[in-house]
Amino acid sequence: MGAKNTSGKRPASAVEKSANDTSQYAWDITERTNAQEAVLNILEDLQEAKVFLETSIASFHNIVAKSIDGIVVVDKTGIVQFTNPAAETFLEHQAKELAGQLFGFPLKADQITEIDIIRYNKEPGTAEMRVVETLWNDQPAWLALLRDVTDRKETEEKLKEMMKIKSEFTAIVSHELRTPLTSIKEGIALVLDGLAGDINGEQAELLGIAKKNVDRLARLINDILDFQKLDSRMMKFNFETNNINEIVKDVYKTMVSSAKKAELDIILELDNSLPKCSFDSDKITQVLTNLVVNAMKFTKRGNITIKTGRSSNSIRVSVSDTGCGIKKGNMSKIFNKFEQLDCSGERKTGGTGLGLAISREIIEQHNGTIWVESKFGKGSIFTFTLPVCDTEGLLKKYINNGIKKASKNNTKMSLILISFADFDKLKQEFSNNEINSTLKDMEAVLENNLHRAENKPPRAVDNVFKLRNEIFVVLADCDKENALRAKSRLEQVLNNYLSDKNLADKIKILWGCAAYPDDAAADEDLVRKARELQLTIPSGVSV
Amino acid sequence: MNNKKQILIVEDEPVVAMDIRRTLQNLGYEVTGSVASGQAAVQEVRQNPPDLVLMDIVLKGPMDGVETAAQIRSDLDIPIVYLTAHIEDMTVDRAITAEPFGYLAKPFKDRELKATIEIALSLAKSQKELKISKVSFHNIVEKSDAGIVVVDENKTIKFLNPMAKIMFGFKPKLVLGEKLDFPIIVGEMTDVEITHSGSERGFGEVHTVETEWEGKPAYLVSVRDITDRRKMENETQKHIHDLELFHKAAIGRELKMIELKEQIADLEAELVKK
Repeated sequence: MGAKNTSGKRPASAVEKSANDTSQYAWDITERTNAQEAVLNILEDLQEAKVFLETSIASFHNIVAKSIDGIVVVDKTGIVQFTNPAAETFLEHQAKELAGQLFGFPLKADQITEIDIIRYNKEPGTAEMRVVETLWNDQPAWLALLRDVTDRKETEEKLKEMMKIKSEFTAIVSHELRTPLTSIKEGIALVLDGLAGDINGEQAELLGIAKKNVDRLARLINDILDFQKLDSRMMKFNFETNNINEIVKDVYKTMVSSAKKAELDIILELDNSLPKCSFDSDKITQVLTNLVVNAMKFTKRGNITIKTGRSSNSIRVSVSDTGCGIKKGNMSKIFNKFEQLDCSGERKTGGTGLGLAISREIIEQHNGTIWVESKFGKGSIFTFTLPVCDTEGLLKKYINNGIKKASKNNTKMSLILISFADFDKLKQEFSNNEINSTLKDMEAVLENNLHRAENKPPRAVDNVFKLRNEIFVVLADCDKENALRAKSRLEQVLNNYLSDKNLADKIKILWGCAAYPDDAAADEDLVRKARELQLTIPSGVSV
Repeated sequence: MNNKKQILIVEDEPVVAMDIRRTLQNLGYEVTGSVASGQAAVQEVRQNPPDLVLMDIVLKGPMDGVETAAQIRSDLDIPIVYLTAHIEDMTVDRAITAEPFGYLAKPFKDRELKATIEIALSLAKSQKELKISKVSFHNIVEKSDAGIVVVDENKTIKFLNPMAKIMFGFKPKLVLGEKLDFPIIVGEMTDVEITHSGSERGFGEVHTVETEWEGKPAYLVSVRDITDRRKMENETQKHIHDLELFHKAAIGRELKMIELKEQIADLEAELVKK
């Protein structure tokens, strides 16, 4: 009771005192209380900030501690400052032991090294150690991130091994097949030629069959070897500006007799206005032959049509047949390696199953596409595209290459420019189409005649360019004297052409010729100079 | 070496300032300066950073003590102790925004000043240590070449490190506050589509463990780029497949070859007979 009274009295007396004595004192009390409150507020706030910081540290510390990548912080003197559990396992250390010790591995910013590691519950392995700079306790330090790459290393090894086995295996098999084949081929040739004695008709027939089989096997083996080259990106491509229709005609010539034997017609539908295109003619011939051979294989009666045409930025070649077609489910498979189907969709043993895979590789190397459309039972259409050349860019490229070659070998190069005199007058007399087709014909005439003297293959027409209303002839390794000689010859040819077409009195051709380095040193200057000189070269005069 | 703590006085009444300076010196502190305005204080701190600033809340000029304190705190991590003659001068809520480390009402006794300063210095020191520690761990997470995502129990994204932002750059909805849009299984590795080396699509291996984030249970989702490994695995698989098919094809040829050889041998034998 007493205690209660005392405690009850004290504050009352204090209030009484302050109220009665001075107001200053009362103020003081209030201020003190408020000041204490302010201090408490501040402390509370600081405590909150501290808790926030601690939780935040714990959050990030958790991430680091639970990381499956090993994490080691090393100060600039090489002493380990921190390790996470993963790093401790990798380096077979307890944190206590490792921290404070020399790290031992050389450290350099942004370097990646491989180190041997211990792994929990697994065989020892390899880690990739990536080093970056960081701040540790406000001091610059190295952060070494250790990632277990054992699985990747193993995969890498496996892949390397697999590639080695594959190439060895292919080499051995090809060799095993090729060597006996060569002796067989020679044997047959010897016997067929009668060198091993006279043979009768029946024997010749049998040998003929054997020869056919051997040839087919040789093709198969070449397919395999080709495929091997494509696979390792070893196949060399020889890109040249060519006319696709010429390739089609060539393939037609080689295939037509066997088609006749199989009672099939090969129909050509060629677009003669196709622009030029840069491709490897041997490889494209291979693709086209393959498509035609396939078409013949799967067509019992009817015909095979080879068609050329133009798409927006490419030329298009298609081979369609009236054969058995392809089942929908098999359409995506047929371009795969070793995939062979017969009419019923079953595997067939006739070829390597590489033809279309190789074709696809070849077309893709040309930046083209190849695809198939088919209706089962009605026939198939295989189509491939090749990107069209940009004639202007190509011309520039050829002139520049010629200049480069000439300056390197200290030789010369020439440019002949051909256009029509009084062009405005011609335009009134002829339609644009007529002028254009005349120019195109002239281009073809020039192409066919240019290389005859130099004994080059007739299809390598990589130096005649019709660009708008002019024709350019690029003569690499040719000085002006020789160029003018060539010009006289070509003039004769073109004049003959014009006479044949009854145009000789209507069209007059202007000739210009400029040489590097005599007339100009750069591509555009050379063209400009050739145009300027066009007016000064008298027609029909040989220099 | 001078171990004395350095203190800057911001006080616009010269007499009071003089008095505080003397007191501080007697208490064993070094006074780096005494300035009368907010602008002067900000400048002085930048040029000659002290260990602590004693800041009068009421200052002449455009900046009062709270504003000056806030400016100093945003410039440099230097603790501030407020001084004021009347508590009414200080709106506590506003004053606290500048994160002060103490408050002293004038007039104050020497030991009160010393205690307040010592507590402030000690609190500031421990806070700074925590901050440094936070930066140390934060840096590790930021510099990791694993994509790190922290999600809460509802799979809401709470944190993404820079690598995670790069890996999932093509997913505009994979940001803080959104839900993680791929499955995660604690303790198991899963696969996810990621951006590989800047542009192309690749594979990420996802490793999920339980963790705590800001004091609450959460999931730590780390993503490692395994595109190269996957590519190699696929390629190996392809080679094995080729080899098998090729082997079959070659075996077929071999038989054909033997057949042909026999055919030739027969013919030769027939020829020899004649």
